[in-house]
Amino acid sequence: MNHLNLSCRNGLLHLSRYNISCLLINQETLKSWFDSPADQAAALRIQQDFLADCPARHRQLQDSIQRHGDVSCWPLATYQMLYRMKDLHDLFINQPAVVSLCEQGNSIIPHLEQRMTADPRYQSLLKRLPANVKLTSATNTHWSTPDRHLPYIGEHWLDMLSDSGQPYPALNHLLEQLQPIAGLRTAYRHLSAFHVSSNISPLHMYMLSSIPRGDSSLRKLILNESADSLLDSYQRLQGEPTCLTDWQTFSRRIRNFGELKLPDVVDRILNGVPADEEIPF
Amino acid sequence: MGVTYEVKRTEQGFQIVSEKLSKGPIDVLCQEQGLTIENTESGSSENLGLFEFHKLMYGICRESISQQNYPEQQRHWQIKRLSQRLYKDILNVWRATLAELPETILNIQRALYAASPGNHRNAVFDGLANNAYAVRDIVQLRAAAHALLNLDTLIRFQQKNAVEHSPEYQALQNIAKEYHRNVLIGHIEIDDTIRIAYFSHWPDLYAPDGRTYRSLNRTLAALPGGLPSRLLCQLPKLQLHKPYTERLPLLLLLLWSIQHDRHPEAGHYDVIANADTASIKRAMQRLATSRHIKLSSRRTVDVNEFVQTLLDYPEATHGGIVGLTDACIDWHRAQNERTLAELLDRLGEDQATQRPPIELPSSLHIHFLERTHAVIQEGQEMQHCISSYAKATVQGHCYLFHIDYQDTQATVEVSPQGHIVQSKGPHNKPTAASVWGRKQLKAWGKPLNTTNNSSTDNDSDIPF
Repeated sequence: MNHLNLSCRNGLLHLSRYNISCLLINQETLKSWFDSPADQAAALRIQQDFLADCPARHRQLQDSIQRHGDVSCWPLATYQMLYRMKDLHDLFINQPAVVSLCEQGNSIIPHLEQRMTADPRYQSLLKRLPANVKLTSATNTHWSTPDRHLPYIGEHWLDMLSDSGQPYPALNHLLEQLQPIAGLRTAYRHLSAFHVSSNISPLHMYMLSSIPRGDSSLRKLILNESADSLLDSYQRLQGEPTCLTDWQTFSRRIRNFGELKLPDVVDRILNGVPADEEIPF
Repeated sequence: MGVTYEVKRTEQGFQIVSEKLSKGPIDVLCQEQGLTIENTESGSSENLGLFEFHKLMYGICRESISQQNYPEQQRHWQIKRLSQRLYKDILNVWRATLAELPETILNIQRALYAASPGNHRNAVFDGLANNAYAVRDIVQLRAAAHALLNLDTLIRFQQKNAVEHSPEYQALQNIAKEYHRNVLIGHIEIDDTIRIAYFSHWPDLYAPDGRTYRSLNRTLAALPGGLPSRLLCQLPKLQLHKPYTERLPLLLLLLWSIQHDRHPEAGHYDVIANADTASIKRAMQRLATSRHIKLSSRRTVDVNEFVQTLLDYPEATHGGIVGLTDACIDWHRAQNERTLAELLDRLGEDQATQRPPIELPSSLHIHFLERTHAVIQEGQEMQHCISSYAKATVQGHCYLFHIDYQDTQATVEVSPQGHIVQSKGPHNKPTAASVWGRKQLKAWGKPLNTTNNSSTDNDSDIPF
């Protein structure tokens, strides 16, 4: 252990020679710190020892990150703050959507702006100002540090997932259905961009989990279909789904077909017609 | 000679035709908004005010000459010669073209040009000419013409002010705070309906709260000329406690207001607001004398420099502007002495600068700076950066001279090769001394070049 300079501090693996840290559970980063396979193997053994000895709360938190987030890019300062906040710690372990929100603290700013502009008091006052005067708004709080954004997320995480800034039954129901499913971190980021109806099922979320939040046309194409239609289209194109990755592959295959409906897109793919961006000029 | 130019009337204005214009005639369009010189070949056009006749002349001649292949050095002379030839023809056709425009528009444009020469293409909005009272005010009152020139800025100020002080805006701010946000006024769109509504009460546009008052009314009724139009946009930020009917006191106050916008801690309002023309001139003269520079009360830029200097003085005063200027001069002098002491302290003991290898100039107007302390003192007195050259003078990297000539002063830097590197008066401004000194030292420094070259030759003889 000594010759590798590895230590464990606050649930993080620390390489004192370069003063760098990673999550205790993060094998890939740990391996990247060492060149020789022998050192890498030794480091992984040391990691296992630390993991065996580490407190249960650290294990729970890191397991949750591994299941629902991206271990390799997890902000370490957020992790340390999360470990200290008991309430949020429990919420974090039980609600995968919170893992997704904690990974990107800056989502608070558009959420607050959206809530403010949707406030009926704000709207009515705005109407009483001269019509030619346009208002803008800017945040008056620095949200970038975890000590600022984590308490807010702890309190308003459900509001932040809603398009209107207020929780509603269909959203709650969907979150309950998604709770045990891992690997949906990107799908949660889509939630505030549309209103969840009873039509939206976990299948929709599977497909959203591989497309960026900015791709509104593909999101619209997916959300316009019922769960049965999605499954039917999937089966026509790829057979029986076995895991989340299959659905992610499916959503990637139906990209760039413009305004077409999903069954038509599947028809085109089956007929060998390339997507718009693949058409050679 | 022998080339004929013809000035012809067209439907929209006139054009200049000649066999010399290989790329086609030069068209001048005359519209209510202004004149446009169009070069059909290049597609370029230049917009001018209706009454900018001299610019029109220059523009036409420049376009004509640009179509002919004169050498660069001759162009200016050719433009001048052509404008002398075409002057009468273009003047007559320009007058005839203007005479066809509606009288009201001509009167408005003439008043705008008199208030502030330039191209005021967008100032006249639709519907203005229909308001007889507004037109009468623009023609008769300089302040109304300035209000029209700055209309959008003045309206935006009034609207912003009104919104910011409204209970609705305060309530919006409180709601925004609940969401950790601040509400700000962004863009204010202004259309002709708003312009008509506001301009019908144009004196109100100059008042802080949108309601004119006695001192302001009297100021606007006799607004002095020679004020930059944009400066009058500062008037709504001030509450005048007396009428200002002379240029210099009003200019001083408006320039102070600009500084106050940039540095809200800027003081001396009472002194500035109560200064009269004679005392301002006297104060500017004192400052100019103390700094060895020229400050003209007729130049806005000089008055602005005067205001900025006064605002450097940090303590409150209760006297007049002359007293404030004296205190300010003393304060700056003390500051300079402190800086000088610090510089001398940093440089250490007074050392001799390296003398040039040739005889020093014999003129009594030229003084070689022989000691490092003299160099630093020169920098302090002349208010430029020559002090930073003190070390270089010891090492012989430059020779510095002070020039006293025709009651002006300058510092000249000569390189070891005898070239004039720089010649500057106080505050890095050119003076008669800087011009004269440059000429004298250039002649004096010629032998330095050969001296240094010969020393280099000697060095090259060394076999390693």
